Amino acid sequence: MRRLHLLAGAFALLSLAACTADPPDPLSSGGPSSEASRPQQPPEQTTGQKLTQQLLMGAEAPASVTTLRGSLARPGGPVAVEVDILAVQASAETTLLRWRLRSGTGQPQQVLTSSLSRPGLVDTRAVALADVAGNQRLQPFTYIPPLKTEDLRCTCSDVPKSVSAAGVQMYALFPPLAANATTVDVVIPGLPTAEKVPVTR
Amino acid sequence: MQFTGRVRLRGMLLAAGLLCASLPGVASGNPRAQAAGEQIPVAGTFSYPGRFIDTEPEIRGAVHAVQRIPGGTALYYSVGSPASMPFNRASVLPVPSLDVAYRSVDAATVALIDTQGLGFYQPMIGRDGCLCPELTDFGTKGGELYVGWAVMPPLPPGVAKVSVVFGFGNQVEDVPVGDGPLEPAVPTSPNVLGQGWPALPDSAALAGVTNPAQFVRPLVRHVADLEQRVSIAEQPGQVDESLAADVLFAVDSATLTPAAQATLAAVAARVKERAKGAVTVVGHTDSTGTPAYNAQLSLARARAVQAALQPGVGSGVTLTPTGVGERQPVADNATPEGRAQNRRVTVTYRIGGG
Repeated sequence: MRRLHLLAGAFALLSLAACTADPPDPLSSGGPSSEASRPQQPPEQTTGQKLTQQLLMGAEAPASVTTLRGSLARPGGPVAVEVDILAVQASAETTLLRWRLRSGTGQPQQVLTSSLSRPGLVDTRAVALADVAGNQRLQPFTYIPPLKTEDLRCTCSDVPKSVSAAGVQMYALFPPLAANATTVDVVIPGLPTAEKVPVTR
Repeated sequence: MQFTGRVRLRGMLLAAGLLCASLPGVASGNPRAQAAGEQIPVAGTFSYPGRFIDTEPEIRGAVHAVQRIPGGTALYYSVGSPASMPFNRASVLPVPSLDVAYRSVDAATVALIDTQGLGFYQPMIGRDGCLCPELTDFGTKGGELYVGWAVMPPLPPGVAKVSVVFGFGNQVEDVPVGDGPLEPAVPTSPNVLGQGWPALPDSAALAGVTNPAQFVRPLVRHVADLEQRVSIAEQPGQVDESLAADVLFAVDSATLTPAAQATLAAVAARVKERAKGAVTVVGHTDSTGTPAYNAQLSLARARAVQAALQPGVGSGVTLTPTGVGERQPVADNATPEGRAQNRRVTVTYRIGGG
């Protein structure tokens, strides 16, 4: 069986090499070539290098399921923002919402606010999931930090100080949806409700 | 990974396919990938701008594994930046808050979440400081992924998956919990992905942690009905049921509406089933009106709820009413929605297991 493992490992590495190999060099195809004129072959990449390259190569921006436009309440006046709902990923234990907050004007602007949390906090705990199938409305888990008796921290992203047109990807971890929920409404204060967002499992 | 025999073989073959299929880029999120030979597990990936400001260079990385080790739970992750720019290690993680005695250089703002046991697991601090690297232990070269780690308190035996919180709120969920430290362990700094795993603190260092339980913070689960008549927040050992005052009472009234009866009957049934010991009933208002009036109204409403609940919870449960007026808002009083959330009566009781 160990030999099988080695064979499988070798196959796996060969497969990786095949899918990452450079295209053939037309200058070197066919005909004799001297050692001096042969292009220098780069050293073969290790598994770690390949994985590093893959992870750093440029994460594709997740596609938006829907885009919302609205404003966040701030002491100096409302700030126009756009929100992309990126994904609602459900499991038996949790539900993870990924969304992107970006400037609604295309220009960098300050967005730090308590309007997505509760007074004095700048997290996004007020973001909610309305699970019609389960007749439940979920909010992100929170937790009680040391030396405190209140749940002053959230398993959700803080509101960034500022956003530009690119935006920042945000996260929020919720309790599980009903097992038969295929869509969910995403509620973000100050913005229209994103209705019937598909749930992936 | 715990694959054996044929499963292991299939895993290896699948691993190559996964990497091939996902080239040239990995969509940020939680793809499950695994390097050939199962040497480098990847439970999920993340990307975010440094310092969480979208004009800063992007940080990318992965959560590799969560492993039970003697005396703790080890998290392995990696972070880096594309080759086109140096890696600004100071922008990777927020400075730890002053809640815990981490140092500003500690890579301590990582955590594990056990949503079943309702625990938020933070890195432990031993005699020699945080059981985590310093930010200066990461390298500065772009195009590399630097491996980081942290040791949290032991997870309960039955926990098979956790969520990982990284830095500014980035999350990777459903990370399987494995056994034993990743190998081979190499005592190098910086630790570059693919050149072995960081050597974790030895058993003496773990034994030097006084009261590991202090690094497990109570997690609070929030679930309401769709109309938000009742919002339940449960943490280990305690439940808070927040009842919308607009359902229970008319404006400026402390007389229960007919619609309140069904809601209160359900609350009473849960209290009777789960409550241990004293139960508090606290009235809250929004900031409309004077503080004195709000204090009076909130107390009157708490007493009305107490009276309605008492028959349903039985004589063995003591309900204590209090009114705090507008002093404990949970939402912004500047908006109608926020004021509605602030108008509430909370019923708080202890439960077993906390």
